[in-house]
Amino acid sequence: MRRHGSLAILLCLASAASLAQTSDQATKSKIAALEQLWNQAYKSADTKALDSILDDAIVLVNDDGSVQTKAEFLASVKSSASQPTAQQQQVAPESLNVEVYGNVAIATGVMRVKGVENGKSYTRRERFVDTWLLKRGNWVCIGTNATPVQH
Amino acid sequence: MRILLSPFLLLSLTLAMATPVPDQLDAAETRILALENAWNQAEEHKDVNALDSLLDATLIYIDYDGSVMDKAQFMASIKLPSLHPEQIVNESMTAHLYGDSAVVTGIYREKGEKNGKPYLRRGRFTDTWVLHQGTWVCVASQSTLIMK
Repeated sequence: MRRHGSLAILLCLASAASLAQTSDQATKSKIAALEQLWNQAYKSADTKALDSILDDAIVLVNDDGSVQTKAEFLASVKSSASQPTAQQQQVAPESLNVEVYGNVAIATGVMRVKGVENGKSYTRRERFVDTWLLKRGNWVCIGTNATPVQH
Repeated sequence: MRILLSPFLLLSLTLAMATPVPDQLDAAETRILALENAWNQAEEHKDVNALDSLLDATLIYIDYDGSVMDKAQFMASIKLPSLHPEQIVNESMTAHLYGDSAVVTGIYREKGEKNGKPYLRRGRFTDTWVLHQGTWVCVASQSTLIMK
């Protein structure tokens, strides 16, 4: 009887671990999809889509160390759309990895950015860390930081 | 009366448990900012035991040059005999608390000597902390040099 009880406990633990793993996998897929949505929305200057995935209190650290609030970032995206010379024309993710910590997920990866600034074209690679939070049933980004890859 | 009070009490208790009171928030913020300062001190003194307790085993560390390290690699980089950090200070720090997680952003200034050459860096950092089994640990850290 005792043996059966232990077996039942083990089965419960195994199934709980398996459920957690499935849930983490689902979260990773969800975050990867949101990262893709972010890139698409950024390229097409879709500020409405960006607004829905960025938390109001998000802190954005750009690749030159400057910092923006959500309102400033959305305004800069809108402004870029009306000034094609300053627009980043291509944002292509090279890699993406997601780690899940309960209601927090960390997405890291490398991005290749191509664009034209003041009439000059540029290409650069940036490593990013995005912190996502499950807030009222929706994943929103609460922090993002980009660092140019020097090597 | 008892029947009328019960749902009210239940609701009050539920709200009280679900909503962290300001004092708790302040305490968590103070604690996390203290941990940020402790991190600087530990790096300055190459105290890997202290660092070990601050960093989650799954830490992702992005350095100012865009290189990426896991916890073991970061700890090894701190111990390098050719690295002599003299001073690591945070000029400013802000903690944004979200229940059991927090994002800290700020500006750091670091000076020292590496491979016999002096260096001075000023950058912006973003650290993500999570409350893991009652202890705050950093799960992601990134720094970006300030160009302007």
